[in-house]
Amino acid sequence: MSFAMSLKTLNREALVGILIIVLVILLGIIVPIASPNDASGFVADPLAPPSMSLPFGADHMGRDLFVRTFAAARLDIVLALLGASVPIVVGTFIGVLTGAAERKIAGALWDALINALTAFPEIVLVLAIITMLGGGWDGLLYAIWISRWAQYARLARAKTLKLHESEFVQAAKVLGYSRIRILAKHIMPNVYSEAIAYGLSDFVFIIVVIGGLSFLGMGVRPPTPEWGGMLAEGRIYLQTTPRLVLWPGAILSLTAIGVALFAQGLARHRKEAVR
Amino acid sequence: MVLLGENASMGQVEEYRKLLGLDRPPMEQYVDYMSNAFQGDLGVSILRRQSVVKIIASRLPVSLWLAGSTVAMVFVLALPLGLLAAVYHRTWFGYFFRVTTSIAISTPIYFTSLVILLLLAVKLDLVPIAGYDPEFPKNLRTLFAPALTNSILLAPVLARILQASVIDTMEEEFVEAAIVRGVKPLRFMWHYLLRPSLAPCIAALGYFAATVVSYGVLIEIIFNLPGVGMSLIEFVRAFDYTAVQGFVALTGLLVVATTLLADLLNAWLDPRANLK
Amino acid sequence: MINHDPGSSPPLLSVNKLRVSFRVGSGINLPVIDTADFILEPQGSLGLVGESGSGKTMLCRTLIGTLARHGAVINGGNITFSGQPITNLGESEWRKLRGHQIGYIPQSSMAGLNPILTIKSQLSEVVKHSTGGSESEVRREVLGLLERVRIPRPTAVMRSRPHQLSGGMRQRVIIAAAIAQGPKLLIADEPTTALDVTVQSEILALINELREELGMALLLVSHDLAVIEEMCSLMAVMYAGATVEVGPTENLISSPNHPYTRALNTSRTDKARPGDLLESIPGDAVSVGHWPNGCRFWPRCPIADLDCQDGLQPDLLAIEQRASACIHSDRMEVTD
Repeated sequence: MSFAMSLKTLNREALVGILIIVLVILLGIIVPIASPNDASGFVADPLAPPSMSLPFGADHMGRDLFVRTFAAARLDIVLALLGASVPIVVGTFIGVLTGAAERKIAGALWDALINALTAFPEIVLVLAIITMLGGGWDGLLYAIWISRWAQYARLARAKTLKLHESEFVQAAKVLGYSRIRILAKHIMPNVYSEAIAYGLSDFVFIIVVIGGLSFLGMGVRPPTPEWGGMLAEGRIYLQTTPRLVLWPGAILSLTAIGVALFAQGLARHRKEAVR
Repeated sequence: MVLLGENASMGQVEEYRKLLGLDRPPMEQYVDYMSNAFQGDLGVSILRRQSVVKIIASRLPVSLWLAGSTVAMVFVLALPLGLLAAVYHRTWFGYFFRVTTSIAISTPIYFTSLVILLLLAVKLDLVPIAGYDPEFPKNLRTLFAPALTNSILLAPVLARILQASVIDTMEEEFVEAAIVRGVKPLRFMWHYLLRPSLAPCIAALGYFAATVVSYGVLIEIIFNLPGVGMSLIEFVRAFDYTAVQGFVALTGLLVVATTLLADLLNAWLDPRANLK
Repeated sequence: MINHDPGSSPPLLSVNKLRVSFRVGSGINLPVIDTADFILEPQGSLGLVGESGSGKTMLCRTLIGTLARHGAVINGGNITFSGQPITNLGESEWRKLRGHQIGYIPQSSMAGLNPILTIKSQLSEVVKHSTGGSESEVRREVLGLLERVRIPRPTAVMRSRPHQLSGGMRQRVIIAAAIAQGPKLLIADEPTTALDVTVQSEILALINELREELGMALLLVSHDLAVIEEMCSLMAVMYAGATVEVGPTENLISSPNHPYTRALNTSRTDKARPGDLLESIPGDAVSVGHWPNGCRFWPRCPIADLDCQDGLQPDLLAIEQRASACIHSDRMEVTD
């Protein structure tokens, strides 16, 4: 089935998911540009209530909450994309290589390493890495990359090993194709497409992780608008002005739900397409 | 360098490195650390100048209480929901279940915690906003919101697994035979639907042990509970290497222990497992 | 009504032109039983014979009310039990019938028992329906049940789990559970198929004993004519969802009025003499949804002609105490 055709038959779940994602991205792009207010500029009294010019009201420093929320959308989504894509690409690559390794011992060693890494509590590992590398959004990214590549490697390795036994690979071998060629043309595309599908649900997680770390003060630091950071800042005002927390949180959750729905819908779609 | 501050002279840095044993080859350091660890010595925290083990020990009870109440709440929530979702899975309830669990799983924990706090603490004044009261049973009140937040994330996962498992079990012939024999509803649900279906759930628990620990850390921070996780963050923020190392080693151990525990629990609940 | 004397008391079970279908998608029904017709008197015995796909298992499920589980419904005909129609019962009404009035022995003994519970635990479930419920009373009842089905070392068996028992023992336990409340009708679905030959006869003998003791009627489903001959005075033959012949077992076996019944007879392995060629019925059994037009047996029938291939499955024609659905039953010769 060509890609365009399969798009049309996408199920309701995935469609809703995509709609949400697209909506958030659009707003993330448009709002900061279209609005007269700057995300970090002080435009009103602190905690000013919502009005025509301030749809979400002002935050505790007098900044436009509406613009900030969507500027944060932009940042978070970009960061999440970066955070998710590198482990996918690199991890899968390494996984394929180790899967194709001819020597058993090397493979077994990799197995052990990868399993050890993936069994580990994510957050602890990430925090440990941040400790060593320092915070800020670069430390954040590095920490995410290092802690996440292993599970893609594991997936890729398993899939590569399975594919190795499959018929068309054997046929290619018999035909005398070089190992590299087999890897590049046959195995890689297969493995990567699965990795990307898995990566979609991962993407949700990364968004949440980035927000979470920033919430803790380890990731993106204020005054850069970032959802997690905004939640941390607004937390103190929970009793008086809950909207400081509710708006960024709601949009963040909405994005996460959107990606999750899309990932789930896509997974079901793929399963049914195979049938 | 980072620890001593930027004004430290090279000499001071060198000395400190010797003290920490950082000048020795990494492999030696690692072996040393490991052997010490097995003897119960996880090093001295740079920040607090206390034995890491002591620090962990003092904070452990709180974390254990939190973990315990979380697990309890997760089961209380997940078991009935998963069971009902399986029995009614072709009705509107099934669809509703699917949607709600999706939302619950995807919503970031630090947001749900704030929403829960908003509802329970601010609007309804049922629980305190933060802090921990070590006295039992008052500490349960302070643990309620944290455990609930954690459960909202974990229970749906378990419920879904249970749902799938029960649906499989329902297909079995002995269930039909039981229906025909006329087994009483409560007994039927527990012995014929739940117990035979718990195996994947327990296995999942073992698998999710790592996740539970991770979220425990977050919860402690958000709700200001003086547990192991909270102190971990303090050390991270202060770039306290040894302490962080100790924590990392400990959590690794914890994960292994919980997986083992889960296996044992499984064997007890479902004798069939012993046959395999 | 077929094979029933109108003057006597009402039959225990009366199945009349029953139609059962699978619900496949909205509004689409796949019939698995098209016309089932037979009558069972109180304390009588009826054997239901057929190949796989004949619908006999679904018939059992219809009679114990578990069709919904398998995605099937009754969409034609009626069934009366003790004079009451049972085609439209709700779950709570079925609960009153099951166990108390209708006992059921499923096909596989292993599958019928919960693998994680002890025998005692499972039998006490049925026992608690009639006993008060004190621990010692229940225990006594369970022991009594086990003894009734002649299980050796009942106390040890009580403490065991299903996988620790032999097939024969398990089957006895299942029988015990089925008769515990003294039902009027016992439905046995291939009770001996999964057992060794030696154990088979023991179990069959047990069923007969219990029948007499408790005054139960027996509906025995089997593909094995030998078993039916031994156990049932009446016989109903099913092919492709339809009852093709019904009547006293002796008659149907000695002078069948339907080619299918005849074929079943001749292909019996227990009646074959050494040196004989084992006969089998040519062709394969039809599966649900692939029923041919006309008489469903015509593709495999030695006396089929053009009349047989059109129209619907023929109705049962009653002659005296028996009925056959073959339009050419007069052409069937008596073989003895």
